Parts: sequence; structure tokens; C-alpha cells
Amino acid sequence: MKKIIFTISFLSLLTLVAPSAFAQCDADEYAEACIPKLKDGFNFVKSYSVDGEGGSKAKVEYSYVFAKGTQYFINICSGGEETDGIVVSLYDSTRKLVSTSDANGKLYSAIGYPCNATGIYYIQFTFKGSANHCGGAVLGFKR
Amino acid sequence: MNEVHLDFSFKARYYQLGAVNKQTENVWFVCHGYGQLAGYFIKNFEVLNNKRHCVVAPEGLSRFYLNGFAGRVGATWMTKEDRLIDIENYINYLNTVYAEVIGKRKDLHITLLGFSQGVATVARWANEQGLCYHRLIWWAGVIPPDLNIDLAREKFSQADTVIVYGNEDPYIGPEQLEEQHRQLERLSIHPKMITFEGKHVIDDNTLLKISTI
Repeated sequence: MKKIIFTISFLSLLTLVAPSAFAQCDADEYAEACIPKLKDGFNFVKSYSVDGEGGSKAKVEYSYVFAKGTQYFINICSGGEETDGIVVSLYDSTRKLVSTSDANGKLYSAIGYPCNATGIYYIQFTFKGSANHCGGAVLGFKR
Repeated sequence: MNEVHLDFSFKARYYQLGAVNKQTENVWFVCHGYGQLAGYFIKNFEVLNNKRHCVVAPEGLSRFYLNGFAGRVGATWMTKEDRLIDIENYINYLNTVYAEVIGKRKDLHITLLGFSQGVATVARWANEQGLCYHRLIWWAGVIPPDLNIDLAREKFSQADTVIVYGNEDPYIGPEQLEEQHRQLERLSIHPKMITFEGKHVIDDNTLLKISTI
């Protein structure tokens, strides 16, 4: 009997806790909603979820191979108009920073990068005074 | 009008650097790109020409004049015309070359390398049931979208996979890279990515570096 009560209590607790835990950051939704915000003239490549897990994760990183002679553009999306402290930084294959949205004391909502060497690039999202640590981004290219 | 396919015996060539003997540890099957000939392509692998390596370069089964009706000749693995039969033919041919070179040896480390158009050739061949290999190198080309994904996922995940690009390769554009990225996601594989300073070529130093990994 004790076992049954424990199981029921445990399941009840799960149903109370689980939805709120998953609802904390719907980064996939932000990523999806970010696609139409791609700058005009750019072709969609990929959307990214940026889930900082409420602040416990300092960075979220993805990689992508860029092509020489191509202009790339990364747009950040969060709940509001601003970026909610989400910073996107782009590193080349040697891990050298080549572009960042944190520049001149301002956080920009997008970065552009004219690629002059085909290779793997690392797209890193970090948080600077972010309230929700949650958002999305979209990557596009133009020849 | 009926289109009819028939079987007949076909003689084809391949090139080899080194031999498979007691000292051999590694065998490389290297598939050239569109318009290349195996006899020239294999020269890119002379840096591996020592007793531990044997390099085998099969050749596309269709040859053509690169410009007009005379002059330099190249080979292709396939075209869009009757492509499934072309694929079947080159896979049969590659399997025959493999069987002749490897025989019953089980102790060899086998690499399949495709360059440019040869990337698709090698990807399709590597997807064959029963073909044994340890490393796949896709150099300056794109994995084709027509693979049996479930089988490819299983086969490719059992090998070391490497993708190589020249950082100035004019044939690798964002569209090709996007297609490659999609294919890798579908296959759920994470190849080692290597880039080198150069164009649409096999780079000696990169090849040597890979050979020691």
C-alpha cells in the first residue's frame, strides 16, 4: 500500500514539475520564429535554438562549414524586440574570433561575415545580463 | 520502343602504387573526380608510396574527350543518363577490384577515399552490404542524397569518417555545403573536418597528416 501511495505521489509530483521545467525555455519555437527575420536577399541555411538553461549554461555552440566568397548573416531572436543579452560570436577553424554582436559597448541583434576561406566555423552564443537565457537564431547566406 | 538492358563481360583497368604483401598495413582505394584519369590521379598519392601503404586507383567506366573530339581524355563515374545502371556497373567493378587486391587478407586497414565526383562514388560503394573498410575520406565533394539512409547510418558509423576541403575551393559553394550538412544530419554522423590552404586538389601535407591519424 505504501508503495502504491509513494508511486502515486511521485507521479503527481512529476506531472506538476515536468511541464513547468520544459516550459522554461522553448528555444525551438524561437528558432522557428526567427526564420522570417532573416535579412532580405539572404538564403536560409539553418535555425538554432539558444537555451542557456536558466543561466546554468554559459554558452551554446554550433558549427557549420562556410564557403569562401559568400556573405553570411546570423540574426538573434528572443522574446522581446531586443536580444535579451544574447551575444553571438563567430570563430574560425583556428578558434580566432572573426565577428561578434557585442561591439562598441552595444549588443547588436545580428552579425554579418564575408567569408574568405572555406572551412569550419563555430557559432557561439553567450549571455550578457540576460533575463531569460533563452532565444533562437537564424543563419543565412548570400553569394 | 523498348529499352533493354543486358549483361556482358567487360574489361576495365585500375592503377596501383605499391603491392599488397607481408609488409603492407594500409590499403587505400582512391576514386578520382569528373574528367580525371586514374593513371594521373594516383600520382597525388605518391607521398604514401612506401612499404606500409598500397594505393589503388580504379577508374570511371566511361571515358570522353575533355574538349571537343580530340585531345585530352577524362573519365566519369556516371552521368544522369541511365544512372542507376551506371551506379550498379561501377559498384560491381569496384567490388571486383577490391576482391582482387584484398583477397582473403583480414589484417589490413582499408581506406576508401573519394575526390570531387568520386565522393558520391565512394559514398554509394561504402553503402554496400558486406564491404569491409575502416576509414572513409570525402575530399572536396558532396555525399549524394540517394543513399539508403538506414544502411548508410549503420555502415558509416562503424568507420572513421573524414571530410576535407581546400579553403579556396571554387567548386564548394554554400549550396553544396548546405546539402552536405543536411546529409550529415540525416545520417547522424560527425566526420572529422579538415581544411587546408588550397583549391580543388589533393594536398600532400593534408594527406600525410590524415595517413598518420
